[in-house]
Amino acid sequence: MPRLDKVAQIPKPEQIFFFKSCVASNKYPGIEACGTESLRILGVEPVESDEQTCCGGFVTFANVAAPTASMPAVARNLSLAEEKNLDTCVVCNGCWTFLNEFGHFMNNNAEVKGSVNMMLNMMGREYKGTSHVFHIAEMYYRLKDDISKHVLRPLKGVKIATHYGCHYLGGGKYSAIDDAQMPTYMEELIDLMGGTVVPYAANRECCGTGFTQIINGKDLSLDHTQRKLDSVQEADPDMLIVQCPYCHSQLDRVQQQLNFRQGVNYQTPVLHIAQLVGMALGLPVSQLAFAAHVSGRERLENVLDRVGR
Amino acid sequence: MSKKTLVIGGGIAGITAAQKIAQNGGEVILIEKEGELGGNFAKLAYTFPVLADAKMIVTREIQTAKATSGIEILPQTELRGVSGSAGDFTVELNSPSGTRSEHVGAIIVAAGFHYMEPTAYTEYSYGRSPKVVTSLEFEKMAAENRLPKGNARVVFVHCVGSRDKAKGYRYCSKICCSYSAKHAIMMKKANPDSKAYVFYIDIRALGKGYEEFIRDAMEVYNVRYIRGRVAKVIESGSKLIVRAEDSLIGNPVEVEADLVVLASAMEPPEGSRDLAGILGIATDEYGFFQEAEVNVRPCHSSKSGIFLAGSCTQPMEIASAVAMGGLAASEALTLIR
Amino acid sequence: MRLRIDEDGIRNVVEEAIGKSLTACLQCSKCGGGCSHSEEFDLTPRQVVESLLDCQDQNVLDSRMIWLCGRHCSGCQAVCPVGLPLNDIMAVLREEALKLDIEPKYEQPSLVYHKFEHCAKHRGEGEASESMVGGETQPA
Repeated sequence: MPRLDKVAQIPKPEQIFFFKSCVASNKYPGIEACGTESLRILGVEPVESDEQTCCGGFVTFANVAAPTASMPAVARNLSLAEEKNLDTCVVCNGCWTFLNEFGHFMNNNAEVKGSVNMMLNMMGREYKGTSHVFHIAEMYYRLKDDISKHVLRPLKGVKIATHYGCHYLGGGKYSAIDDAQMPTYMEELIDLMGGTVVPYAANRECCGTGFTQIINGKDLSLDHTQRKLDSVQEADPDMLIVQCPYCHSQLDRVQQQLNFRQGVNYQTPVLHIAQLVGMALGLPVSQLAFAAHVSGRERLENVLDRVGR
Repeated sequence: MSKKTLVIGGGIAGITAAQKIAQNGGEVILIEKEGELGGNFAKLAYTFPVLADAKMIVTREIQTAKATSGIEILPQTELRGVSGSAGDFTVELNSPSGTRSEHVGAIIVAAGFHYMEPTAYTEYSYGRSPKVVTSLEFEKMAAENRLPKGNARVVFVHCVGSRDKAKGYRYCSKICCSYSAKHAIMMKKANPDSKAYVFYIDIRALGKGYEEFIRDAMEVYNVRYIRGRVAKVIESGSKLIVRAEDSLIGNPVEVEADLVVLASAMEPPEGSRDLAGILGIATDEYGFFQEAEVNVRPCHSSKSGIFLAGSCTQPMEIASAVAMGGLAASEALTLIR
Repeated sequence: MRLRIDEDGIRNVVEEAIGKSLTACLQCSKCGGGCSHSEEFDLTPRQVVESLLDCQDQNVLDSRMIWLCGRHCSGCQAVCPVGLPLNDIMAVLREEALKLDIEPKYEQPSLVYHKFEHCAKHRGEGEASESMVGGETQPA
């Protein structure tokens, strides 16, 4: 059950700093397009910045550098939001965890914050730690009343399975708006938009990217994704909803790799929650950018036929 | 000097204390906040380590108490206020029929305990799946003959809320090992085709016949004991998947189950801190009533003239609660005579 | 093989870094039971803790587990009944292993990413390990 006290702490701002994600923007442009457009429809103006870089989490995650090396990137990106006096909205679990966690670390560790600020000062910036970081799924949950008012394509009869992602649930025990073991807010959103939630056994399992294994141990990673996809296929949803572009890319693209390697036939479309909300809010099909999706395109077209193009 | 004694709580400890005082010529007012006497004992189907009919025993004790002259039983009554000192307390009792004031010489607190609701244990799907139940709900299912039929698998999970600093209590609830074994045996007796699995961390069964009881569960009733705390219970279609590590071989294991029973911790009774505030006695860090001296004066509270009995002081089994009820009675008699 | 329990080694380093004593561990094994990757690990988190307490530093530092676990999935940390920060423990152990020049143990070590030297220099090597098994390459 969502932690309503946490949800109540999320503001409903007029503007929000829209934090672009490297994986989302490069692999699935629909996430960014739908994210900004849907926020606009819901009455929150997204503000982007060309100066923003990668959140800096990836180098830590992929074992390239120590966590302290990522902190200046986190601080710099957050200072962009701070100078506009805005809170930050991210579309990726990785950005969410690293911005939140490193931000939290710097705010509570004056020494690190001081040395990071020394670097930022050279660029004429300062990190203060005043911008709160929210995941776009959290924003949607906060704005769910507005969503229900604006649904133009009700997802009637569409069977939807969910995947939350470890870096939101596990890593976020201080800030996540839902329980790590039994989250339900995406299910609530899907209900609200008229869809049917399909439960499956491996719901809380990792997508397989985790533990740097897609980089450092691909076989482990594929094994794990296969276990997850087996469970998804058993439940046979029309689509699998994720809230992290990395899970998205793993679950979408590995299906084809497994079909090729193992001679199986996985064809489940994977969508980001922003795309699902965008679809329900009636965004043009071109903005959903399904052309970038690899798996289950036929099924996705079929869903579009049913909910209306 | 007033000769009456007030006993708070009509569970087995309170009933025993009331009986012993009355049988020795004292007068007792026994108050119970529920409508019926019996407390947690009355919610059980069987006792351990001897599988005896719990309802029969508790009914017999209640009858004895009712038949003994000198015991005034006040159901649906709560304590509202206390003034005075040892030997001469004035207490204010509140019931639906109104408030009354009484003079008593001693007070015995036997407020019992509460089974923790494991709502924080979302990893066990408690509250989401109807097939995940607490041990108290299992007792009810057994009494109503609703236990799984046929070739069912039942998993018993130890230490839910006990020995858990993060989500529950640091202490060991003492009785869960034994009552889980009792439940497993009840399951196997009710349905010999079923399979029972018990996941434990350590087996703590200290008492006469307890170790033998648990060995019987393993050897006679063929209950499988696996060492490892259950990590997850996942719903999968109509079944539940229980995930843990068999820590003796160091390998992850998985059991497909039809019913999962959580051995929830014993926690202080609801409102124990409020009651302690009214009485002016101390509680420990969890909310159990604090003994004056743990070893030799276990039933003295921090205030003279107020005595403690039963599981409101610490998790304990029925036999200890009865013994402590008797001890509190003799302390009270010593004071009022 | 009989293990020799001797002087405490990196246990002290770990305890100092996390600000907690490892003796808090109950050995309840909830961590390993819930881990979605424990099939692939050679040690489970509780075994790492027990090995450290038993002064088996080399076993721990030579394990694959410390390289594969602790990437903020937090599956074990979220359920640990005594709240041991397992992510941090693994990070400290990785650092200690690096100090002793112990090579990271991945199933397919693409050290390109690890050694901090620029990817371009090792491009051929990296692609070879990716395409060995065939299929679409997907580095990130």
